[in-house]
Amino acid sequence: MALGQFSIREVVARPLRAILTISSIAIGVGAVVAVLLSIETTRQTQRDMLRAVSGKADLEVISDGANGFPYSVLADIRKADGVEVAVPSLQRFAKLFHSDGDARTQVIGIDPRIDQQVRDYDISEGTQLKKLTDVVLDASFAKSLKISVGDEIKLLAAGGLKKFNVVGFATPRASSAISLGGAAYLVLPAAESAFASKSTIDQVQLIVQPGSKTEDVKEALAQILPEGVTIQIPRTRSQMAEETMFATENGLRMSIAFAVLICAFIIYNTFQMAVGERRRQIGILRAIGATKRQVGWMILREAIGISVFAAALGCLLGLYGAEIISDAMEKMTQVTLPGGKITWQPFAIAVGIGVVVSLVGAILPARRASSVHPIEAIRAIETSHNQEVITATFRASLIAFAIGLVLLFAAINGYLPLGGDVVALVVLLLAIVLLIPSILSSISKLLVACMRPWLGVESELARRQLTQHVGRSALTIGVLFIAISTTTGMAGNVLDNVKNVRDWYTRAIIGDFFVRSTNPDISTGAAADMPADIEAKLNQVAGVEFIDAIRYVSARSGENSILVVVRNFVGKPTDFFDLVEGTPDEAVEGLRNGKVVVGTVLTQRLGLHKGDKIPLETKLGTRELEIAATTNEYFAGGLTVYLHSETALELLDVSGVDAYVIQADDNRLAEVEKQLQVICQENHIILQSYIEVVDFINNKVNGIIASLWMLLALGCVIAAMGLINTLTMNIIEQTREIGMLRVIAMTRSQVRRMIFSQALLLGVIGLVPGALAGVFVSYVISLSAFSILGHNVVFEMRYGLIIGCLVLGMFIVLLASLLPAERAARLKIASALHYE
Amino acid sequence: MPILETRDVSKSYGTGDAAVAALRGVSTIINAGDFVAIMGPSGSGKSTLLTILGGVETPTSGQVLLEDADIAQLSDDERTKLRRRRIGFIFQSFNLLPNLSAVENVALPMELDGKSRAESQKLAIAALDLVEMSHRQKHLPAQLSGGEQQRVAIARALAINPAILLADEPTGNLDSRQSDRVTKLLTDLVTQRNQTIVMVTHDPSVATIAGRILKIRDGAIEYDGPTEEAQLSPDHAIARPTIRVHGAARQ
Repeated sequence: MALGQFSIREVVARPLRAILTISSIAIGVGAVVAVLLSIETTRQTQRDMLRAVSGKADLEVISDGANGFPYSVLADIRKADGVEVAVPSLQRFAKLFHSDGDARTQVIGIDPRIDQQVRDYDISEGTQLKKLTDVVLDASFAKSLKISVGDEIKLLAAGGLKKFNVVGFATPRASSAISLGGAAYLVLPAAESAFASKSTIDQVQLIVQPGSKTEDVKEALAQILPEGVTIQIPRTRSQMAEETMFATENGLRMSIAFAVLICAFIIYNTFQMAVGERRRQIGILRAIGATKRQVGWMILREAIGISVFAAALGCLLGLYGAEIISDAMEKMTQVTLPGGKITWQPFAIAVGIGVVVSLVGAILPARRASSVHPIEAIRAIETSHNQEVITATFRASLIAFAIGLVLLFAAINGYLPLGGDVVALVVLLLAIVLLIPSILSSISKLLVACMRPWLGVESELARRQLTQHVGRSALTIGVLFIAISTTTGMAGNVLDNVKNVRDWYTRAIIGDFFVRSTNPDISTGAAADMPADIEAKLNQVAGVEFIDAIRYVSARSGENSILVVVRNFVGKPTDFFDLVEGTPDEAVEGLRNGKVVVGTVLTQRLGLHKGDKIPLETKLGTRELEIAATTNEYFAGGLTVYLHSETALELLDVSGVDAYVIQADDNRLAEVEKQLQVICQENHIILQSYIEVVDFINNKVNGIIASLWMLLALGCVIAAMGLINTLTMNIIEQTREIGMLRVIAMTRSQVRRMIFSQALLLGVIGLVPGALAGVFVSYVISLSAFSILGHNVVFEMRYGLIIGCLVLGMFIVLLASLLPAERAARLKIASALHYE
Repeated sequence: MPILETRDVSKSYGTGDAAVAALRGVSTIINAGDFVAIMGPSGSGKSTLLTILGGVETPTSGQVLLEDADIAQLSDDERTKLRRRRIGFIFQSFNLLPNLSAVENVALPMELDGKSRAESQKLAIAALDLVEMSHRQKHLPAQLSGGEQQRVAIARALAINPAILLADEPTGNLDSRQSDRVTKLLTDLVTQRNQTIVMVTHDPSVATIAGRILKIRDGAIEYDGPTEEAQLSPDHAIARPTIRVHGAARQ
């Protein structure tokens, strides 16, 4: 109890230190909460969607093509042994019109009598479907569109524009709302009519009888199902969407790791200082009977107390941060995330991390405190641990270098799973950081030799102070090093990728006009079906040279869920692909002859090249199709296969159209646009010019870039906090020395210059090699991109970015030193001389 | 010739009811070559007077004239420059920078004053020579004994050729043998270089080396006169001097 009070008074007596520590931990915990909460929200939304769609089913029967399978298959499934319930559904995209506007929706045709046995939702308002004109909407989707029960809506799909009455809202039972365009439930016959898909279903969800084995039922059903129909254990159909989000989530995780690292550093620094300052007091405690354990626990308890308080603040910060990140995610994925969704897990994880990191950071200082000998402390003898630190970190650095290089080699050559390159780079960066204590003295001497003509003897004093506390200085330099290397590395990589995306769409998306019913999903390309008579109307427009219809179909190749892009490839061969292997003529000629063009992400994953054969699940069973060319592709995360429409009709039974690409006479563009506008307005569909499509993609890319810049800014803020903390701690520790220097010779401006010199040294030693390491990071990520993308993302040396990051970094460093420098300059000399 | 003069100097800390008067109307003159020992019980205001004499703190009222310049009227930077050029400080706990060698510690004030490194080092070595420490000029403070550290601190104070040396309990942290050596050094400075020294001390035996005693009680001067007369004061028994300077007979 007495030691507890002693601790509290110590913390209260040094408010600046307490505020710095608390704010640093709060920012770290806040970052963790924000990132986890937004990732969790996005993922949970996708899971809820799946749960609502696939629900509690043990097995699902799906079509390999886009047009589903006959209703009659359901009867065979129900007769099979071990099947308790078999629930059919038809799932397609459509465009929904309501009084205030329109939206893309996933229409699910269901049998309302048995549907809730497999799908996990409640009718939260209104009633379940009864009539052909009834529609039940997902509750959060309806809320976002301001639709109430009793309202009338219209759905536009292949069957034309049809009216429906909203009779109820569905709410997923397990947790929150559905999104991905929102769900609209119709009775099965109404859905068939809407999609002009008579007696056809897309899926059957099965529940296996108690006592029967799921695997046995699956095998038995596989025998009786017709070609082109597959039975499988329900799995995340949002796999493609998750893969496209992988890079962003990886970036977010890196920022978490960075925030946690800084937290640990600040806590370590704080408590190391606290122990150093209170050495004499601790000695007295030891002398009057406090055991080593009691002293150690006293420090750890302080760490827990501060971290719990700071973590609580961080949770509040995190809520705000999550909103910002979720907003960016929404823009990127076109997924309407449910607002106000909060689960407890991110908070628990963040608080747990905060407390654990605090304990880890405080363990060494606590050990140091408990090892204080009463006599030694009372005599105020400071033992230097510099040599031990240098030896230990040098050895650790060599080990980390060895591990990092092996991991890097493995990652570049594709022996590691996704994200392996990030692990390798983190280990290598850590190895460099661990090397800092060994080289700090010589590098700082070299720098001071250059700085001295401008900064005078103050720079030498600054150097001495930094090298006196090798461990702490190296940690600060390490933080700056990691901050700038990740910033320049990631920023360089983002810019390389953006360039790659722009190269792709300038080569692969060519056409004067694009007509579609809704904007496509970026991960699947799927949009609502268009009315069947549109193509004929478009063909009648004067000035149109040709029209190419595009259809996106989900399919499978081996274990991979893929996107099949079906079109006629009318026009110039150079207008369709950003080819990696093969020529445009080879690609188009091959497609006309039943071959395929494949996205490089998929060929890399399957280890295939031009001329090889790729397996494709079709209505005729698995077919091996020859690869005519490989192409850079960003739709569906690059897991894409291009098929000519004739081949697709034969293999996948494709009908309907997602989009039309229209090429017009260059001299009649305005005239064509006018006519197209009339048709599109009449049919409630979207007309986009080439510029608009490019803007659409650019907006998405810019959204991703903006969110990544935001993360990097967060990194800068955290690094600045770390720096302010270190410099302030240095000054607290130097209080007496600064007081003495002020007495014998030093003016306030010289004190400021000394602190600026410290900041400058820390900045230059951390930032310059860090920026160079960032270039290396960027280069390695571009190399290892091959193992994921199947083609190289061209690495570009960006001198502007490096210099910009360096200048910004030095500015932040000097800005961060303002407060500590002023504090040092304003020290009261007389009291500083007696500071202990 | 007066080097330092205080005129009705008062210093108080805090305001209102909480105000504490550390000095009340202190007036005294210190002449060139004086060796003055400031004595008094704990909390009497000795150290406050020394910090005000050195321009570390400014008086609440009154004047402090160093070579005719009123320290209290100077800006912080002007006082700092005055300190580094005209005043040498010696502290009880030496206050050497632990990460600088002996010669670097001594050279530092001169380098901060804009002298070249070479010139500062040359003057520093000369000052170390004066205190017989030039042979240990490369050593860090931690590698020196307490007495040696204090001699380095004295060298640092002397290197600038100050008008006055202010010493705060210079032997307070030393054993008797080292204490004797430091007191002899201070004495020699006065006798051989006519150095003006003002020294705060608790130790009567150290005070005897001074030619003049300035006794402070409750912030006011209780006695200001020759050491011999102070010896007669019933309140302050001073040990029989072994060395006395500034007009006093040597034994």
